[in-house]
This record gives sequence, C-alpha cells and structure tokens, in this order.
Amino acid sequence: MKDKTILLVEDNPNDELLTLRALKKSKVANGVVVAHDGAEALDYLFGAGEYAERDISILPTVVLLDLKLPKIDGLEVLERIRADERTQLLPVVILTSSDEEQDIVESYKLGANSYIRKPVDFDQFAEAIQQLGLYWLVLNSCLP
Amino acid sequence: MSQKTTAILDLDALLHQAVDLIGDAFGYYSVILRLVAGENLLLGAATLPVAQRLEKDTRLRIGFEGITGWVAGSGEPLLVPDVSQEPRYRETLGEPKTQSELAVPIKLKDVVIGVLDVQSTKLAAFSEEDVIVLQTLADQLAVAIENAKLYERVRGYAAELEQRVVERTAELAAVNKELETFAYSISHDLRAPLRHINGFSRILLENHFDDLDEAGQGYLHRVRAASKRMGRLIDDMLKLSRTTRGELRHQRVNLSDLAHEIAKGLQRTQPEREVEFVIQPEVIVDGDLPLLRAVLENLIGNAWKFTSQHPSARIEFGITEHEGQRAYFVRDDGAGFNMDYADKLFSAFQRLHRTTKFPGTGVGLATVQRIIHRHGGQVWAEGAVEEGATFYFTLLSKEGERT
Repeated sequence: MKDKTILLVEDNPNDELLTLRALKKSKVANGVVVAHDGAEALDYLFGAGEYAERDISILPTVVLLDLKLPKIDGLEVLERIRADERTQLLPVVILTSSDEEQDIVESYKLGANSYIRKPVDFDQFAEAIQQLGLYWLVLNSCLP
Repeated sequence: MSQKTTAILDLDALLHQAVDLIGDAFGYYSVILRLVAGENLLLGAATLPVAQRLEKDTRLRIGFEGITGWVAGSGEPLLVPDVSQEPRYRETLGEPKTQSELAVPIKLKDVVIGVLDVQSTKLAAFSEEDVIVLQTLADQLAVAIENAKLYERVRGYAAELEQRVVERTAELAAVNKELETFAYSISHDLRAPLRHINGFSRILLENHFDDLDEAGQGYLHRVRAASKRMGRLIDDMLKLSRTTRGELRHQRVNLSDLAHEIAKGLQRTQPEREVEFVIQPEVIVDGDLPLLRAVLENLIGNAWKFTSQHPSARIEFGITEHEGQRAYFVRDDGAGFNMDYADKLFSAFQRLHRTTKFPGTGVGLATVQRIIHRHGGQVWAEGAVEEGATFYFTLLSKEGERT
C-alpha cells in the first residue's frame, strides 16, 4: 500500500495536539505532516523554503486546512492549490472553528472538497476526524 | 388673483407672481412688496424695471423710513396723492418719476408681516376705492405668504428628517458591520479555547483516569460539561445574531407543513413519549421560510420540552383572533409559567426554569421575538404554573395588513 500522508495546516499548538491525537486514534494515516501557517503549507506542497529538497511529486492524500492562519490564510492557500496544475485536484478539507456562512460559501467557491466545523466536544471531534480519515484515506478512490 | 397666489407654495415665486399680477392688472408704474424682518422691512419682490434698480438687501426701518416704513409701523394704509407734498416720502428708486403712492399693510391676525406699495407717475392716481381693493388683495396675500412660509418650514423639517434618516442608516450599517465582525470573531476565536478545555480534560480522563480519585474525575466531567454548555451558548448566540443579519426573503410559507415536520422530528428523538399533536391544516403565510421555521422549531420545541415531565401531553398549533387580527398560536399543557414573569420570557439568556429540570440556554424565545418583529408582527404568551402555556404571534402581510 502506498504511503498515505495527511498535511495538517494548523497554527494553534493545542489544536495541533488534539487533532494529532484524534488522527492517531483513527489509525488511518501512516504519517501526518504539520504546517504551522499558510506559507509553510505552500512550501511543503511546492518544494520551497525548508522543503526545497522534498520530492514534490509525492503529494499528501488529503490536506486538512484551517482557515485562520498567520501569514497566508486558509482561503488563499486553497486558492493557490487550485491554481497550480500539480495540486489542482488535491483533496482539501476545511477544518475550522467557524460555521459562518461566508466562510463555508467562500471555501466551496474556491474548490474545497469538504467543510468540517470542529465541535467543542472532543468525543465528537475525534469521531469527525475518524470518519474523515476513513473517507478520504480508505473509501475514496484518489487519483492514481 | 387670490386663487393664483394661494396655490403657490414657494415663497419667492409667490411674491414675484403677486407683484407681476398686480402690476399687470392695474397698470401701475411700480409695485413693491416688502416683508417684515425684525425691525426692518426687506425687499420681497418688485415689478420690472423697478426691481432692477432696487438692491435686494435694501432695508427700511419700520416706523421711520418712507411711506412704506410708516405703514409697517402704524398698520394703517397710506394714500399720498402728491409725494412732493408729503414729508414722509423718501426717494428710493433713484429716479424721481413717482408722483403719487399708495401703501397698504399686509397683516396676519393684526400683525404686520409686510407692506404692499404701488406708485404712479401721475398725480393723484389712486382713489379711496383703490385703497379698499389693494387692502383686500393684501389680506389674501397675507394668508398665501403664511402658507408658503409654513410650507417652507415643513419642507425644511422634511429635508432635515431625510438627512437624519441618511445619517442613522449609515450609523446602523456601521453598527451592523461591527456586529458581523464581532459574531465572526466569536465564531472563530471564542470556540477554540473551549475546544481545548474540553479536549484536554477528555485526555486527562482517558490517560490519567487511575491517578484521579472519584471526586477528581467528577470535577473533570463537570469541566467538560461546562465547556460543552458554553459551546452551545455561543452557538445559540450566533444563531440569534444571524436572525437580525441579512435580508428577509419573502415567500409563501405553509406553517402547517412546517409544524408537522417539526413534530415528526421531535417524536423521533423520544418515540416513547405520549404526545398528541393537533395541527390546523393549511395555515399559509407570507414570510422568510428559514426564519419562520426557526420560530416554529423554538415554540413547538419548547412545548415538547416543557411537557416532558407529564405522562402524556397535547400540543396544538393553529389560528386564532386577537384584537381583530389573525394570530397564530402554539399551545401546550405542560409546566407553564408564572404570568408575573411573562415580560422576562423573551429576553436573551433569561430562563424561568432551572436548567437541571428543563435544559436550555434561554436564547430560543429571544430569537423568536426578533424574527417576529422583523416580520412586523408581535409575540406574547399566556400561561399558568402546571397549566400549560400558549404562545401567540402575528405577522405583517405583504400588503401591509396584518393577516
């Protein structure tokens, strides 16, 4: 089986820890790469900055993208992913705090594959992450 | 002439039309209309070519200057057959053509508001009859001038009001924008720390369960429950703020269908409960579907909740009449409430029951009230402790009538 990695774009260390824990419990991901802001996420995907040496032909199976990020915000990251032909088909799941209509609409307009609002209750959050992992890494047929 | 002038509401136009009409009708050399302004008389209008020689800001002191000034001071008409023999005469036109002059006061309820002055190049051009005719005209003019002044004032108020509406609307838009930013920030920023509190207390319970005694575990459960509750409060608050944001989208809404849907949903959550729903069919209104759905969800949801401690219950939805208007109601036979606190029902975060007995955040009825107010309606409630509650609301129809 091919390595299935997840790119988690998350600036908040608490959220990072909790999401990693939930992902670990779901046992669907072989590896999780964490980018702490939008710029780092783009560096990882396009092989720049500290990821200049990375083989960028290997894409993550799915990107979990927070919207409120320092430097380059989530919507802009999404826009750049969709604008580049190397990543335009990459599954991107918005994983964020807000369920404000404007965020949801903008995300889908820019080509998000899914939009998930993090529930306050950790059990529900873990459940959501589990289902998300199951869907994008196991059930869904990704591009070859 | 009186008809022609009383219909004119623009003061300046009125004065000009008046002097022109009088000049044309009687063939006078000059017709000059002056209006009282404090202690002076100011030029209102004059016939051509006199008007061109008179300065717009010519002032005559009332009671002192010229025939016109004297008439304004005395309130009596003055007929001067030969101006050269009249000590009160003042040459004001810059051209000594005037031989005789007649001036009458323009009075409104015995107060002089102006002077109508006619001059002739002939000696003794005016008769006593002319005095009566001109005075009659002046009396009618007084009314017309007053009307025009009132109208100008009203127009001024209207313009001021309009300006104020523009300003308030801008203020409101700014406040709305601020509210939106605030809600957005709450949605994003306030929930994150709550998730962390909840998540880490969950991890503590999971990883360090054995390190904690029963009390410690209990406290952690409370931390988790409290964070969840605050999460719900924030969500409800955002819902409440959303009901006042955005445009209303009016359409035909079948409230009966909505009520049935909501009832079915509730019955699915607790199939063991014995609740009879009585829903009047084909209750159709005009309004915003998602918002009206939220109204019924809250009212019927409340009825469901507050009957939960009774072995069986009956929840009704239908139309009734209130003060000649069509009103809609949701009635239950549940816990009810004390009418003394009826005014607190619709305030956000106000609850009449303990959370342990009936859970809730106290935002539902505040949301209902906002939505109904936005629809131009009213909402109120009747009830008694342990005898159920009835919530009524009205809606404003598109035609502007309450239906």
